[in-house]
Amino acid sequence: MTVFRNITFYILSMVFTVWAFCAGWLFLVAVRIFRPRRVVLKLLRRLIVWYGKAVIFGLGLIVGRVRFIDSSRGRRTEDPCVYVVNHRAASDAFLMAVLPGEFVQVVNIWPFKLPILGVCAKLAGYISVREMPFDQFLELTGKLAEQNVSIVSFPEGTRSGSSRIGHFHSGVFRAAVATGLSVVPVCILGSEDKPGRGSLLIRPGEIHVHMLPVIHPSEYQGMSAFAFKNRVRQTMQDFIDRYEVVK
Amino acid sequence: MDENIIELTNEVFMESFELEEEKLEPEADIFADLGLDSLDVVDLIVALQEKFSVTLRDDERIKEISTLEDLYRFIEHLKTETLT
Repeated sequence: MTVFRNITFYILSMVFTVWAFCAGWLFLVAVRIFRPRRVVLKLLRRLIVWYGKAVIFGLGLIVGRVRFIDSSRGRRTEDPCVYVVNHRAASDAFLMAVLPGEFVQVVNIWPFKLPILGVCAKLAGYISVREMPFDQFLELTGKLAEQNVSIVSFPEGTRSGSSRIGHFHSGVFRAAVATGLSVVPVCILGSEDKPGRGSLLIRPGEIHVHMLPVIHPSEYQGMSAFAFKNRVRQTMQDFIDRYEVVK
Repeated sequence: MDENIIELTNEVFMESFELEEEKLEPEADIFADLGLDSLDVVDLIVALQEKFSVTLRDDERIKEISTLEDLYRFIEHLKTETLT
């Protein structure tokens, strides 16, 4: 039954992706005639979020359920921030559609090579962090913050596949410090087998995406980037440990 | 191994990186066990240069360091070279 559900999900997702890409592309080309590039970029990022929501809350119901829990304690969603997310499975990037505000994701090199999705990520200004020097990343973060665009990052750099969060890379934390951005930790629970490492099979079950309280710049002032990243990681790990016991 | 070098190096990790002393075992891997990345290593080099008054930045041998013990030995060599 699980295999049948997976096959159905993947076929429908592929059809939907091709349709969404063509429709979105035509729509954006038409908009570009009348509106400036920045408006089109904002629209494209919004379309990607809608696409993600359609996949996880629509087609995703064939294989599982996603719940979004916002405990960020009334953060102004129009303010830019750095979302720091734990990384368990390939589906995590899609789950980011639940996050509020305009954002770009910091991704590895391989997602850019995906057909359709890679093209959209590139056009939307997603950041291939391994292909740019840190100074350039810092400059880009500053520019995005000025445009009220948040950054979504998976600082582990690779999928952990378990409830243990791996060591964090410090790049996004340095960028947050340099640009004075708030950091919002986001914990994904239950995605480790959706799909598991080296597999395409999505096991049935529920994924929880939990947005934790925001960390304002005043809270990390004077802290080294290393200490800051470890503090955030520990906060997230403590939450996951508590939450998974309760769940 | 010069105990003073071990002590001062560990001090750098505790002061600049807020790492607990019990984690600073000689066999601890700087990246896998202590969690530093390439950007943190730049901070580490700056802190070590200040602590030992040596120049590390342009030294190619630094790329071969993976454990704390490697680092102790490297600084020991460097101190000896500076004296001679």
